[in-house]
Amino acid sequence: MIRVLMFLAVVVVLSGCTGQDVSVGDNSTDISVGVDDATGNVSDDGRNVSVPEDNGFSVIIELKEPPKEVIGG
Amino acid sequence: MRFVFLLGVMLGVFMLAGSASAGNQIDTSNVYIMAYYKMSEFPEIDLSRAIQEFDYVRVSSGQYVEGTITIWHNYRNGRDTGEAPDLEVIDGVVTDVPFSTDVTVRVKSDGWIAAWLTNEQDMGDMVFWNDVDDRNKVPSDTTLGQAIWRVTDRMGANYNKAGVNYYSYKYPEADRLLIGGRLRLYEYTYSFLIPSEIVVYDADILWTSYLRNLYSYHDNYGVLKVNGEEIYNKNTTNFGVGLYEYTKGSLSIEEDIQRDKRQIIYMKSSGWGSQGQCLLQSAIALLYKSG
Repeated sequence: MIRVLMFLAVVVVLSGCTGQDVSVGDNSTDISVGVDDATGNVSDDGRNVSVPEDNGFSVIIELKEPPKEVIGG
Repeated sequence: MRFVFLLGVMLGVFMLAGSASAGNQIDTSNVYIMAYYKMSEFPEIDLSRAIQEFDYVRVSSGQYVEGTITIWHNYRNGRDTGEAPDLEVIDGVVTDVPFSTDVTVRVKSDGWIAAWLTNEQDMGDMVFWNDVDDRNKVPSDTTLGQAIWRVTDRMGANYNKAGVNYYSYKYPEADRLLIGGRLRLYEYTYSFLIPSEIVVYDADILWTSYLRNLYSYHDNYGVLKVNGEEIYNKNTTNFGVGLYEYTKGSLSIEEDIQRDKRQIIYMKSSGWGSQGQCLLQSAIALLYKSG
């Protein structure tokens, strides 16, 4: 009986360990376009950061949490 | 009693399996910013082929390969093919700093590629400078995108830059990354403005400098100023000194940057000749939450 209880205690500890692993909440599989051509002289919509676009380069990337399968093993 | 024991064993096996699966997850607590991309051409990826693109492999299993791909900034495709110096040069002295950025990459058998910078890296590691001694090249991609491209190229898969998505685990509230700047041969000014409405998590002014004096009696110089304040100034006055500057630098500005006021970046360099060359590239990189 004592051995069984000890084993179950180990199981409970292991369960707690797995709960500490990092997980990603977004389950979306949408990988829609978020990047403009770096050489395409792209500017923001004017409400945010802006960079004048003559003779240079600019890219604005929209950040998006990856789906779980990207992070998973 | 036997039933309880059996139940315990089953629970133990289940939890151990779950723990092992969770242990194969990417540790996002050490991910500064990640790019991810799905190779859709192949239902199953040949990892033995993908592994050939890595410079260092940390884990290789049937499910994924993870390790480091080094992106070399003075090559168009980021691969070191031996034509350019590997180490940075500052004030004519060859340093022990590689002119490259290490990107951590995981390639999965289901076609996903994840490439990321760790928390020890910064925005300066995001820009792939793409041939810094070629006056016609501007940064063509991020270092993360370039690492993904290298894997797809190795696999014979298509690479669509617009299909690469990004996310910062260090700053999960950030929803935009902006990289913009100039490549300059002589004298130029560009500017940027950050409204007070947005939240800036990380902001850096970045640059590369390539100065070389073979047999030029003229000064070869590069100057970079932000709002009139000099942040870089190098001059190769020594005749025949050869490669004098071959480096990249960064200046963190998120603490000091003024809002709602246009910030001026001034660049000046001595130009491009057969005997003396100076080529500056400059960029700003901002990680922020849009207003």
